[in-house]
Amino acid sequence: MLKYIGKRLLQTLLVLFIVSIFAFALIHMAGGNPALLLLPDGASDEAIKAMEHELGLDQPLYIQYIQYMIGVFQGDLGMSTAYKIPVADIIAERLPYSIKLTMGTVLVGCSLCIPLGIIAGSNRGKPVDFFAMFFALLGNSMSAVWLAVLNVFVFSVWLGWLPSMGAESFSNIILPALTLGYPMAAEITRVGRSGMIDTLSEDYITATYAKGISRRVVNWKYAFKNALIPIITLVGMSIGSYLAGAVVVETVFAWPGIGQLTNQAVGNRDYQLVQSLLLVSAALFTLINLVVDIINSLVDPRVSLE
Amino acid sequence: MDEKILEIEDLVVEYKTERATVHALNGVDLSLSKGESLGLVGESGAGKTTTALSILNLLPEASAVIKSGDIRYHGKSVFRMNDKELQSMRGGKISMIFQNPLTALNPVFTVGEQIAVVLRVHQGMSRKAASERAKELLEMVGIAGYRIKDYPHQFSGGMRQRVGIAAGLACNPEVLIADEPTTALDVTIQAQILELMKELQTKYDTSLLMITHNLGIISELCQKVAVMYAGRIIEYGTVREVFKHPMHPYTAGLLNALPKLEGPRERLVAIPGRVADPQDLPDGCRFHPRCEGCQARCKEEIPPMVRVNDDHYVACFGAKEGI
Repeated sequence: MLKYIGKRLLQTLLVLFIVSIFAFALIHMAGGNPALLLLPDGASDEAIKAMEHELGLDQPLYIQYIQYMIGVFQGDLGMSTAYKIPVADIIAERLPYSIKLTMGTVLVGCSLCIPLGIIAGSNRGKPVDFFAMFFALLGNSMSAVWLAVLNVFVFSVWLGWLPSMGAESFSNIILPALTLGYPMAAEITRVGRSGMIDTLSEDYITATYAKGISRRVVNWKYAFKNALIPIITLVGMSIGSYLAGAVVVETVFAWPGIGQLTNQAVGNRDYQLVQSLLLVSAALFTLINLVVDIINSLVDPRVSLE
Repeated sequence: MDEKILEIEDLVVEYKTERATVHALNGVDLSLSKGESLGLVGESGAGKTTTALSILNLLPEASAVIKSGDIRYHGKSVFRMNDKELQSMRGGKISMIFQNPLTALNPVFTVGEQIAVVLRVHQGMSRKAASERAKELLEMVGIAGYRIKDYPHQFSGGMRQRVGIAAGLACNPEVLIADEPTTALDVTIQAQILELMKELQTKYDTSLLMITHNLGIISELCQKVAVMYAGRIIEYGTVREVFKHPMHPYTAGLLNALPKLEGPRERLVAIPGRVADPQDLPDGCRFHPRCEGCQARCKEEIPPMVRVNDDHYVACFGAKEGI
């Protein structure tokens, strides 16, 4: 187990190295000049040159990359050009918000919809199944932007129950978590339902009934554990991507997480910040994947970690 | 010996699919006495597994329709039992061993759990006691007890079938239904499994319904045999009598199709024609398109089961009564 984790962490380093090259290349290919954005309009050529020199932009690209990577290996993610504070501090301030939102989203997604998927799958063709499928179709079909605006309109503007922006209190998290959670819930319902339908047609389920086990126990114990396997993979993947930033939803609800930060950093051509954000996101994503694989091996004995 | 535990009476079962109706069982009559071992033979698709699942009232709800007939366990219809009665019968009094050991065990639960659950449900054992007993059962079928915590994929096919047998025998059931328990296994393992079943059956005086298409297994293990064709029993009697004097051309064909070890080498004999298609059954005797002795009457009427002697019954117009 430890050997496996060590191996996976080494692989993660390789992934991060590749990501760092892509991140660096992408942001420099995007065009625009951070020096221009930092200076007032109509700044003189000398002032621009001076600013470029200050930011280290006058050096060849590979030197810039090497300097950045040396910093990373020393635990220094660089200075944000736009905010003038260390990138690490900014990420440390924003990451907890992303984690909170992700937890809220997963709670919304899993609490309702794992049971819904299981019930739908074990009552195929009955009204509850149609209801669940309708719910899932709706969730899959709505884009995040539209759903976010709809939620703001209904719950903030119309009913006035919930705030539409900010992150000061608990009530602030509800709308963004609902917006992100609904499509996830829809997907979980679908995957849970089809997993359940597949499982229930297996011989071993008939064999379990033949042992005199009640329908409730067969569904919720013996079939459930099989149907759970694809759900775990799905939830794990989603957690990774929400942590790495739900750009649209965080922007609409002014939620100060990684997604919103990435959006602003790209707009500001904040090279150091964008590179480091991408690195951190990639690191989080691969770590979550590792955790998911470990959980999967606990639920499904056929999955071996070697 | 004569007490009938299980009686199947004129059972008709159909499977509805979107395109067609499959006539799986077309009036099956069968009974099983205490301690008796009965072999049910027939080709694939003759309705053997459907018969077995019907006994436990486990036919797939979505597609199977019981058109008529009844199955009585100690005189009580299994189709009229409530959930509680059914659950106490299944696994406790009548248990079943499935055809394919590779798919009949739940991959994400330990084999110990899959045996122990039967004991917890039917004998109210505690978790610990059930797991102790499961260990003993595993040892009884020839698997080391410490493997109780292993998962099905860590066992070979033959061992998984032993696990299935251990679970089937956990509560000393009155009736054991074995649905082709050795078909998916290779020959040496087959012999071991059969030996084991024979031993356990005599030890616990269990009634056995052995479903197979292997006539050798029947003659080895059973006292009575019922031959099934296209969802009906066409010949029934003691194994000795039926195998020695098969009256139905189909039974005779089956016995004839066995390759012989002695004598000069001959071509393998096959029954001409194809197995009756349960979606489109022939009128009259289901076997008539393949039968050499087919008469005009066979094409229109379904032959009733007639008594040949006390140990032998057959459903064929060609067979003479009272021999």
